[in-house]
Amino acid sequence: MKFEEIYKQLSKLVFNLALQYVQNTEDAEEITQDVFVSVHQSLQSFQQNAEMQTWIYRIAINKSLDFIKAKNRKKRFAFITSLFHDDGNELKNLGHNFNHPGILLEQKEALESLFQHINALPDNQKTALILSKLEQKSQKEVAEIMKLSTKAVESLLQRAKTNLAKKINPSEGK
Amino acid sequence: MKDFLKPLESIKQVEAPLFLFTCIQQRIQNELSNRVPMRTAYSMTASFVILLSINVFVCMQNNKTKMEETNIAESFQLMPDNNLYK
Repeated sequence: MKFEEIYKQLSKLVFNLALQYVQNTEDAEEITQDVFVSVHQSLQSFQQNAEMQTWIYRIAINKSLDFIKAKNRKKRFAFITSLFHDDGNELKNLGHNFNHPGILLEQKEALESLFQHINALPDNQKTALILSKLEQKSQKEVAEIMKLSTKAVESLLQRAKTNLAKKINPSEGK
Repeated sequence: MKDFLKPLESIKQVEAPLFLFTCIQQRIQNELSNRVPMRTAYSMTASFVILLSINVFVCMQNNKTKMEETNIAESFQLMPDNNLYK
């Protein structure tokens, strides 16, 4: 399959998945670029027996998680630098900017707060939740993408929901 | 308990920006032009290894010559250096 065809078929999927992780258009654009550059580099080594969509899902998940880790590292470094230098602009620029184009204005506040809690979840719980609830994937598909068993995915989702409930409603979690 | 996840259902799928493909193509082009050909990389590594081996060989030869000089000096009861207070 040609690279351009792959892009046409799967760019929307990758861009939206990145958006669910970072909730910011600029960051999602950067992740989408990283994903497709990576796809272009490893297209030769791609095994035809594996499904293209699952393969690209995995790349997109890894790139999104790497992007978030790199951004957090930069934030920590900028914070330490700001203690010694008076210039706080860099720290302000690295702050989380909630700008998800798929969210309606009236839902923005509620979802921003919900995403704050989702972002605090461990990586595997967050991925399972995003794939299952936002990408509407079945547990079997999630298991295939995450290279886990269906039972493991079920357990991850259960833990993610319990953790979220504890954070949103501390009295309910007890 | 699951109600708190209900707002997530309202999130709409959006189209990727049109300019993104051009950016990706540009980045791929940049990476291709910055990439060092495998042949150059191999020849550079080989040159480095050869240079390193020559260095090691020369150092070993120097040590060997010094040892021989010391042995000759000792056999003729000569001082191998100019240190008078040894």
